[in-house]
Amino acid sequence: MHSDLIINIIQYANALILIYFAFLWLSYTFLLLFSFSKVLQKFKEVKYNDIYPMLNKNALIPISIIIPAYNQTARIRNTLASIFRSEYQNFRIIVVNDGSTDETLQLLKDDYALYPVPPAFRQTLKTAKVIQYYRSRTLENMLVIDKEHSPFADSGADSVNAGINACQTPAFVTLDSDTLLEPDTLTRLLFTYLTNPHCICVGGAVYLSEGCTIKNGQITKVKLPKNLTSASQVPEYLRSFLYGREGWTLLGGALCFPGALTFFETQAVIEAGGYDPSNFAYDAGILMSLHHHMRKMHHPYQVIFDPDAQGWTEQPNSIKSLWLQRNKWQRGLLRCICNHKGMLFNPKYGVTGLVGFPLFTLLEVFSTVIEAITYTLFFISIFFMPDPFTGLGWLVFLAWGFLTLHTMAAVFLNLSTQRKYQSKSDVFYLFALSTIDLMGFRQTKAFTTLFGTFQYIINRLRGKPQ
Amino acid sequence: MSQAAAHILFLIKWVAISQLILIFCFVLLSYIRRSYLKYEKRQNILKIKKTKQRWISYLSENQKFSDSESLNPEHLPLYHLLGIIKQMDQKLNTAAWKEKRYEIIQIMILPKARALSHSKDWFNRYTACQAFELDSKLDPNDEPIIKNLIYDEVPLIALDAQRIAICSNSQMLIDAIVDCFSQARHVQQSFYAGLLPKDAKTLAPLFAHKLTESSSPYAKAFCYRVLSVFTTSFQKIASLDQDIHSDNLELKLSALEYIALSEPNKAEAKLQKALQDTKWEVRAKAANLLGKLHIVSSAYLLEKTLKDDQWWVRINSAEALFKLGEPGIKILKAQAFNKDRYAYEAAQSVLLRMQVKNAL
Repeated sequence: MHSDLIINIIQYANALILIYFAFLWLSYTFLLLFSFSKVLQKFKEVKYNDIYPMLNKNALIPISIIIPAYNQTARIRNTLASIFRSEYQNFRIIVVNDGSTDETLQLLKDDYALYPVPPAFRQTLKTAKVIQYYRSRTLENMLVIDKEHSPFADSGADSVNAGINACQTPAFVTLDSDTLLEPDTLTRLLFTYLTNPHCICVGGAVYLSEGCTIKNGQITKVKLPKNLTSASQVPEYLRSFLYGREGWTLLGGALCFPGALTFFETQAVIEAGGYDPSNFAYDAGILMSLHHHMRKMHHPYQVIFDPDAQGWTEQPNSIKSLWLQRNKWQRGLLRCICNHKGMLFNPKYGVTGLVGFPLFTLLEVFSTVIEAITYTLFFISIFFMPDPFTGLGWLVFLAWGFLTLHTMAAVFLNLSTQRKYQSKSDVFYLFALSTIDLMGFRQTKAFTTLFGTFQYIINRLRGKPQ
Repeated sequence: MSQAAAHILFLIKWVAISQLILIFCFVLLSYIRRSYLKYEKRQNILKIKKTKQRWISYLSENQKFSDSESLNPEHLPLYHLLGIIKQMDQKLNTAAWKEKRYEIIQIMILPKARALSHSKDWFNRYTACQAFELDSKLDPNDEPIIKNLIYDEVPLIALDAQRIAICSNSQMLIDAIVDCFSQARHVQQSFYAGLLPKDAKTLAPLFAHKLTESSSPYAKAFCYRVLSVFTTSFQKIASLDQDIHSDNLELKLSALEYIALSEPNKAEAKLQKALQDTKWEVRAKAANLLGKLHIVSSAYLLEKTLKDDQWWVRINSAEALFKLGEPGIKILKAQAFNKDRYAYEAAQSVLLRMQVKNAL
């Protein structure tokens, strides 16, 4: 009697999950199809257009590059070297030392002959206490801010806010202290900003630097990582950065750009209230705040993704660090959703409120949670269902096909637009990685988000921010 | 339920197998597309080479160009033709080429540009703009097209169209620039500022005319800002005194700057009065301008504003005092942490920066 009831529950749950995944399949395929023409058109614009004389002819605005740094002695030199190699030279660098316990500040002091200056910046956005401002004797366009560690560990948002307070340029770029820029990245970000009406934010694409050969901040040889944990994330990044974010443009604009490389109009970010310092997913948080503010004020605006503006960054290379990263992302995303719940299905917020934000919540925030529930249900059904393996086999095949199809679509765009990972071995490695991803990595990511969701609920009940 | 499950399983099988076929198609398509791109690139290079040769043969035989078809037998799009002209410009600097270049532009480039200037694709409109820039003297019939492009929503096109407008010295286009950009955000205005030539004697009267005619405080403020850039030919503006006392902050600030630059003697008293304005932006601007004009008699007033509630006023006052030289620096050095911490920090920030600059 009990087992019949359980079988019925499992069958209904399975039906619901199947409907959800059918919806997910359709939505992502729609995003893919929509982004195709956009990505190829952008490639044509870049290919047939010599953007450098185009930009040089016009007055170039100065851009601030804000780099939050916490214990980055090993990496920050390379990051700064990659900025100095930029073709676009009208930039100011603002490094924010977030109370590092290692030698990050000392390294900067030694390398750039820093000297202390009294504070002369308005504290528009609230941050942890700034200990000291430094300027460089060797680089006039460099400012280093030494501040107390953010009260919410590992969130760079507080540091970016401190950087925005000191930012005196009309636009700024956020750059992680372990991210390397390509020489043309800043030019391309500015190009996209200037070729789109009412643009307030441009997101760049981020690739994994692990496996590549790096010399003085320059990627000299592009190679896919050998470490499987890192490599399993490459197809995910390709799918996300080659078409995923582009597809969201139709739905009112992406709701998350990588914090590692994004261009912003300073005034817009300040008006939106800056970054949420207590959010782990602060990169998604700021974009949602921008949408929320601009829609509320009825300002025309656009947030654009540029797959040609590229950076290289480090990502978790062990299961433990991957678990921690995804867990924080999930908690951060849930906090974003809660902070901006007023937009959900609200016609006042236009297409973002009616379609973009609800879809983002359903597809990007809860898809992995539902995936984890599916795995759990399957495990239970082994004990109750007569033949769970036939259906499961086909379902796994369907899931593999879905992931591989979208990875191959990204590879198609990659090859068509002559970007990274061009060799035949890279293409086949990417194909293999779609399979490897299903052998434990995907499940890990699913369960960490499920765990993160529970943790978020418990923490909120305890009065913690996330 | 079991029949429904069988149906669902069938559907899953069908979708899964279709996906497999699609994966194969994508891999195949990837390589076909890449090969096509390579082929297209080679073809374009060949077409460009042929067109270039045709032009060179016309040039050597000194023939007259008859029509667009004979000039562009390969039907290259406008952006390729512009590329060829740029290449030829770099290689040939002869009178013969200049003459032929003019013919090419009039017969082929400009008609194409006129057609593309209304395109929905921003890239086509941008190419049209580039084409109009090649023509040394803008045809008055093309002014409405450039006016439309000035109002274009794509900033890069608008900026390019404005450069063409500035070279044209047309009152209609200057009016369009002012109307368009006075409504734009500051970030766009900063772009625009870099486009202006500093010695444009012919342009200043056009902007002054627009300023006199306009009733919008933002348009007027924009005109003052532009006129402040033309340091070699300041214009007499009848409404200047009135604009300095305007309620509109933008207009007030830009008028103050203009009077400081164009009539420094008259400006001194007005700037000193502006140091006591209720708006902090005005006080900061006045301090800044007093330093720029090196008005030593205002040192004691700047010492007061060094203790202002607003940090930006304090910083500007400190900078101004430094620019006044010895009397100002003396005031800055006299600031003490225990008397007024904020005045001291503002003074120190300027002194330290200057010290380092001098040391370098």
